[in-house]
Amino acid sequence: MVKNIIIVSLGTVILCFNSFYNKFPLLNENSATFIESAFNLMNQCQVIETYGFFIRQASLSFSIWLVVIAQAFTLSLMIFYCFKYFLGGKLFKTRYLAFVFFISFFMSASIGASTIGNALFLNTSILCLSLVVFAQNLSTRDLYIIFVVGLVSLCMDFINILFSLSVLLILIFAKVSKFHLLTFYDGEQRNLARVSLLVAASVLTFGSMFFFSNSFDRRNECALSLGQKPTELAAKNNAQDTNRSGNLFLIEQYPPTAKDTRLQESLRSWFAWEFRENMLSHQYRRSISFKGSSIIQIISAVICVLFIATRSRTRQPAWYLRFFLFYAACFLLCVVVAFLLPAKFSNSPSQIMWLLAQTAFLYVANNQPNRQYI
Amino acid sequence: MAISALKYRFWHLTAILICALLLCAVALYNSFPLTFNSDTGVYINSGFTGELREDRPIIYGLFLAAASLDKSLWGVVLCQSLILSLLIYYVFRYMGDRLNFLWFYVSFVFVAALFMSASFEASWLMPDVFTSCTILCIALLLFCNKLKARDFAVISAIDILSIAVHNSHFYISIILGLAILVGHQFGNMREAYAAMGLRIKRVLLIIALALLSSISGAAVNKYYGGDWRSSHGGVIFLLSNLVEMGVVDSYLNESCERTNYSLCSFRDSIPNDFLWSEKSPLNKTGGWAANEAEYWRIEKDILSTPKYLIKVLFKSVIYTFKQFFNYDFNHIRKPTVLVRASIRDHFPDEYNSYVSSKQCTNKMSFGLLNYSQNILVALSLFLYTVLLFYGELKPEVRLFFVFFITAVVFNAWLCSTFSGVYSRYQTRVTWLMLLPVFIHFQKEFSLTIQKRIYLKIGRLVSNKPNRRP
Repeated sequence: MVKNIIIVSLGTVILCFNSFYNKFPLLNENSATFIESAFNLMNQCQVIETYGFFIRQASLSFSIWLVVIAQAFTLSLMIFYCFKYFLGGKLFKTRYLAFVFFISFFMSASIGASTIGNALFLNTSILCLSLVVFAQNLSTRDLYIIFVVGLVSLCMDFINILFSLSVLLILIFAKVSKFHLLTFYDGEQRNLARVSLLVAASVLTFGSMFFFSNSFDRRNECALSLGQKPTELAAKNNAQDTNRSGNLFLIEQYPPTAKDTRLQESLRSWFAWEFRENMLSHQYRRSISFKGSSIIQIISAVICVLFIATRSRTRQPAWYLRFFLFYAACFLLCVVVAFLLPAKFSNSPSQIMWLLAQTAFLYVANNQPNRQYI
Repeated sequence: MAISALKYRFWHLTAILICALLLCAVALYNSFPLTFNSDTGVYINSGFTGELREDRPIIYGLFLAAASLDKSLWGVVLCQSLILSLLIYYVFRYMGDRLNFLWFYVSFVFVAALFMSASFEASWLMPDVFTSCTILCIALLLFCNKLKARDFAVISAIDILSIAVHNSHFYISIILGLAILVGHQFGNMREAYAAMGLRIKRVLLIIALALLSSISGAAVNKYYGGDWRSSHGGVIFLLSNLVEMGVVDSYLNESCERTNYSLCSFRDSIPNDFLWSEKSPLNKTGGWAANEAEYWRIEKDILSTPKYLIKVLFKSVIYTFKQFFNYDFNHIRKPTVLVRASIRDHFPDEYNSYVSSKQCTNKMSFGLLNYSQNILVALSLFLYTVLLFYGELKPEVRLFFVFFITAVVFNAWLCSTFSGVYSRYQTRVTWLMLLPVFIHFQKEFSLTIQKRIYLKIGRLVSNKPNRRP
C-alpha cells in the first residue's frame, strides 16, 4: 500500500514536469475565467464553472500549485488503476512508471496536467469510463474512487457530458448488436449498468448547476451585454475556429501571459503572494511551444494504430481489441466534436492522443494469458 | 611484467586524456571557453588584481589566474577537464569492476560530454564544474575502501579546492555528511553501510575536509584584506529569494507599521531582480555589507513566525522540484562589457579569437543538446526508479544510487531555497545521475563475462579425460 502511494506520488511529480519546467503552472486563454469564477462562484457571465469550484477547493485558497498537483495526482491515479486492472502481474508498476515517464516527457499528458484549465478532465473521464467498462474484479474501494473521479471529471465541462452520453450510446449499441466482436461478458453487462449510473449522476449534477446558473453557455449573450459588438464577437469566434481547426493534432502553443491583463489581474487578486513567481516563469515573457512533443506524439499514435491494425486477430485477446476500439472511438469522437464545434470545445484531440499510446503499451506489456481469446 | 605495467599505465593515461579532450568539446565547438554574464569578468579581475567581492569567494578567481598561467584561458578549461576526467576515472576504477572498466569509463564520458552537460560545465569559466567535483570526491572518499595513499591525497586536495570556490559547496558537503549520519540510525541503511565498509570515521572526514576548506577560504580572504569569512552572500541571497517567493511582500505589509526597517519605504517598489537591479533597495541603501544585519533580522522574524514559515516550507518544496526539472542551457548569452574588458586587459593575445567565437557572434545553439539531455534525464530517472524499487541490487550499489540522487536533490533544494531557481544550478550536476547507471551495468557486464569464463573453464575441466587408473 505504502509502495503504491509512493509510486503514484512519483507519477504525480513526473506529470507536473511541464509546470515545474515553466516555473509556474501553464496558463491559457480560459485560465483567467476559471480563476475568477473560483472565488466569485460564477464567472463574468454568471455561469457556474465546475472547474472554478475545483480550483477553489484544490488550491485551499493558498497556492495555485496545489491545483496542478491535484490534477496530476488524479491523472496519475487513474493511469495506475488502468495498469493495475488491465495488466496486473508483478511488473505492472514498472510498466506504469515507464509509461508515465514517456507520456510526460514526450507526449501531451504533462501539458494537460500542468495547465490551469479543464481540458485534462476529458482524459480522466475516458480513463474512468474505460475502467468502469472493462476492468474485472474492481475492488469496492477502487470502484468508489473511480466513480468519484469520473463524476468530477465529467462535470468539468458540458462537452464531457455530451461525450459520455455518446460513449454510453455506443456501448448500448454494442450490447444490442449481435456482432460477436462487441459481445459483452456477464461481468461487463454489470459494468454497463455502472457506466449508465455514472453518466446519469453526472447529468444530474451538471443539471443542478444549470438550474443555478440559468444557462449552459451564455458567453455570447454575456459578451454582447458587456458591450462587445456582434461583428467583433463573430470575427473573434471565427478566428478561434480557424486557429483550432488548423491545429487539431498539434499541441497548442501557450502564448506569453504578460500582456493578458485580465489574467494578471485575477492572479494578483486571488493568489497575490504568488504573483512574483508568475512574473518569473518562462511563459510570462515568451510563448511556449511543444513542437517536439507534437511530432513524437503523432508518430507514436500512428505507430500504435498501425501496430494494432497489423497484429494477427487471432493473437489478440477479445477484451483487448474492444478496449482499443473504445479508445479509438473516443478519439474519433473528439476529432469530430473539435471539428464541428471548435469554439466551444476547449479540448484539442492532441490532448487525448496519448491515450492511444496506452493501448499499445498495454498490448506489448500484456502478461495475462488467461484472458479469453477470439 | 614491467612492460605490461607500463602498457597498463599508458592505456589508462591515454583514456584520461581522451576523456579530458571530450570534456572540452563545447569550448572547442565555441572556439573559445564559454563565459557567463558579468560573473566571469568579475572572477578574472579578482584573480589578477586580488580585489575582493562581497558576493563571492576569491578562490575561483585565483584558480583562474593560476591555471591560465597568465597566458591563455584555454589552460583553465584544460585544467577543469583534467580534474573532472581524473575523478570520473577514479570512480570507475574504485567503484566499478576492474574488468573492462576503461571502456565503460570512456563511453560514459562520451555520453555525458556530448549528450549532457558535462562538457558544457568543464568548458565554462565558472566555478560550477566544481560542484560535480565535490560530489564525486565525497563519493570516492566515502565508498572506496582501497584508495591508494596517493589517490587519497589527490582526491582530498581536489575536494578542498572544490568546496572553497563556491559558497553552496560547503553546505552540500555538510548536508550530505549529516544525511549519511542520519541514515546510520536506520537498520537497512546500516546494513548497506556495513556491506560497503562505510564507517562513521569517513563521514567525519568529509565534514572535517569541508570545515578545513571553509577555514582556508576565510584565511585567503583575510590575506587579501577582507575579514575572516569567505563572503557575505548567504543572508542577502536568501532575502532575495524570499522576495521572489512573495513572502517578504506579505511580511512587510504586516510588519512595517510596528518596525522601522529601511526596506519598508520601498515595499511597493521592490523589483524581482532584487540582487542586481539598480532600482533595488539593496543597492540604494548601501549595498550588501550595510544591509546584512537588517536583512538577517527580517529573515529570523519570518522563519520564526509559523504563518510565514509554512509558506517558506511549501515554496521550498515546490522550488526544489522546479529546480530539479530546470536544466536547460538557456543561460548562454552575448558577453557583457565587463567580460570583454577583463579579457582584453588580461589576455590581450586571445581577445580576437574571443570576439570571433560563436558565443560572441550569437551563433551558439543548444537545442539538440537540451533535447538529448531531456531524454537521458528521463531515462535515468526511470532506471533509478525501476532499479531502486524492483531491481535486485547489491546493497552497496543501491547505496551508490541513493547517494547520487540525494546529492542532486540536495543541490536542487539548497540552490532553489537559498538563492533562486536558475537552470545553471541544476545543469552542473544533472549529468551525474547517469554515473551510477553506468557503474551498475559495468558490474553486471563483468559478472556475465566472468560467468561465461567460469562456464568455459568448467566445460574444459569436465571434458578432460580421466588419466587416473
